[in-house]
Amino acid sequence: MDSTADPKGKRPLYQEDGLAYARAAAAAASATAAAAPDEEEAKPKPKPSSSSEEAKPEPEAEDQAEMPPLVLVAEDGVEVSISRRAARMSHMLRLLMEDSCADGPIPAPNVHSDILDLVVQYCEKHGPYYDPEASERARNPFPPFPVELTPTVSSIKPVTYVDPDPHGLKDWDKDFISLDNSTLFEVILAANYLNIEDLLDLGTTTVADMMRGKKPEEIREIFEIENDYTPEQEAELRKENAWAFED
Amino acid sequence: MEIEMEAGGPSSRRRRSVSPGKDEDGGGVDHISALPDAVLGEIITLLPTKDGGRTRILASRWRHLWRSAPLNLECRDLGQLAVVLVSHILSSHQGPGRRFCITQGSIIYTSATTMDAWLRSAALDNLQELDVWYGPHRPLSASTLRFSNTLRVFTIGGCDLAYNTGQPLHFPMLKQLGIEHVSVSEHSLHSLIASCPILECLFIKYSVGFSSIRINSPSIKSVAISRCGTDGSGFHLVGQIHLHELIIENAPCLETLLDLCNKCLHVSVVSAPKLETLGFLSEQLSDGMDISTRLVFGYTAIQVDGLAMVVRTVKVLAIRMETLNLDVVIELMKCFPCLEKLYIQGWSTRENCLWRRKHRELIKCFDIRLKTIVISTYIGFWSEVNFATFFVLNAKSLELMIFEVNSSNEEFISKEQKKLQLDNRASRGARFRFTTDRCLRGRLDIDHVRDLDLADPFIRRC
Repeated sequence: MDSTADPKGKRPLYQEDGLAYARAAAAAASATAAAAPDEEEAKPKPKPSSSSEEAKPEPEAEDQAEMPPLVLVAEDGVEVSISRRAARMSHMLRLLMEDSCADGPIPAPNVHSDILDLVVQYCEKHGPYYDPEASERARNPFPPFPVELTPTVSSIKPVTYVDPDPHGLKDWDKDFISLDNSTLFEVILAANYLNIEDLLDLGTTTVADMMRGKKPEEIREIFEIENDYTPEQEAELRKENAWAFED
Repeated sequence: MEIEMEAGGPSSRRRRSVSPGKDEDGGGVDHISALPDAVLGEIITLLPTKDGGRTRILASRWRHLWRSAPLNLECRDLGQLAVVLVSHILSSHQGPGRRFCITQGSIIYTSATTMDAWLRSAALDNLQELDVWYGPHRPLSASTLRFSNTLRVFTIGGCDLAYNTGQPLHFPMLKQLGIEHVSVSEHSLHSLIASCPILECLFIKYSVGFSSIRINSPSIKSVAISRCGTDGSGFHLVGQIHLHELIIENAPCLETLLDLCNKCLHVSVVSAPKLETLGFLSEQLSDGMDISTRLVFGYTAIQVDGLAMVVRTVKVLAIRMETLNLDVVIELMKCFPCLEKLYIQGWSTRENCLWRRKHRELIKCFDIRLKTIVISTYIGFWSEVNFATFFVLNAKSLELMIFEVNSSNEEFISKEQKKLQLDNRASRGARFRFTTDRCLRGRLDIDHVRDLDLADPFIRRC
């Protein structure tokens, strides 16, 4: 049982992933006097037992599981809970927790509660497998190259490689991020504000995927970008960057 | 599976942001421009070179974003005029750089001065990924070493690595190192590897000057050696020292070990407690010469056709067999009893692969734990059928078996399905696929240190 998580293969830090985590979440929920029952905590839990029989190798995690969840306050005043384990994924929340400033409600201005729900959902899903040290920006900023480079479009994000995904996280992510544009960008903004690198990466890669290989006109249409160049400016820019427009 | 969606399927997730003050009707609103510059820069930096340059024309907001988003310059994208364009692009970008790839195919004859000037340009400051072909016998220049502190992925091509810079090398952030077509002494090679404290992937291809490689690295996760040894045609210079052996002395994190060489390479694994993926053990006779891999675990040798030791960590194994030989595969399964995935590249049909009594006895006392088997080049000869049915009928944990075939003719496939007795399969949940795609990546397909970053380097999606 190794306590070093492999972010690529996403081995869990804890022995039994879903079950132990759910129990711990239950333990956390039952430990708090008034735990706001919301969507994240109301996930189907096998047994709401307060005895955590799973042996967690990290004492820090044990503490976290027993401490009450954090409360984030969205811009519309709605409160959203996030378990401490999931909150680690946000650099900002992690710092608050380390400084013990995370006990009261934490404001998340400019983030609507619907978006905050989505973000918390992402963190709760990925939380058990998250290792802060391994996931820092010291990791490779570029995803691996595609195995096959098609001559027409050379992608940076691989679209054809198979990475056995033991916890179904990749598929889940794909599903999760299929949002309409405005929600997608709100999620990216929220991830940026809360400094959740993995979610930010997921969002930016998704947007890059949508842009790759497309002509500017097509991109403008997809994202409803208004072209505010004058025809002369546009022509000048095309000339200046001629290399980008030749095929 | 726990894909929980509170409100049901994916369609319900196409929700809008309903916050007041935003346009309720999603149409016509440019949400992307609301993102801060830094985030847009993160998006632009993921695009191929030309796509990135084109973003300038989207709207005036985007005009200056490309110039400051970390530069991704891939020369393969630039076509014939790459040499000219690289200079132009480097001069029009203000830095920092993220990626700079000049591989052998795209720019062959750059003078050393041009290359130097490129590497020194401000657009490449703090470069994180460098893939550079120097040209034969050029040394590792100071202009390259200026990136030592920031490089994470580095592939050196065609260089003379007996660096004479004087100062010791140190690559504190380097995780992936590729060395191709390089001439380097054993000592220099080991110093180079030692200068990367967090190295995870090492790929050595087509290089000479060293007869043995010893891996001693607390961080390394995958190692692949390709086309070293005495088969470097074209690069085979008289008097050059060629690789004979690879010794994993101490690699506590090593998970993947790939021998992609064509000629006999001695591989010794002294200590690699996490080794899971092993590639291209080969049992092959070529012109009467035995060029099998010799694999040694601990101090006991495993020949491909001889059992000595049991290694429980290995789960994924790729083998090349000229003849589909059931005996050999069974011996390997005994060596690696926890094997889950077996990829076989075999193509000939000399052996009959009839099940012998010893095979039948084996079945009684040995649990085949294989879950996935991929057989490349399946034609339907009886020897292949015999080989495959051994697993169809006895592998109780089998989940997926893939046959790469040449024809997707339905008649052919249903005939094969009958021959393979799929109805009597031991594992009821197993799936059997006949595909004309080339699922299995071969020795020559694993070509770049990036390929080692994949969890399973042998499989393409098919």
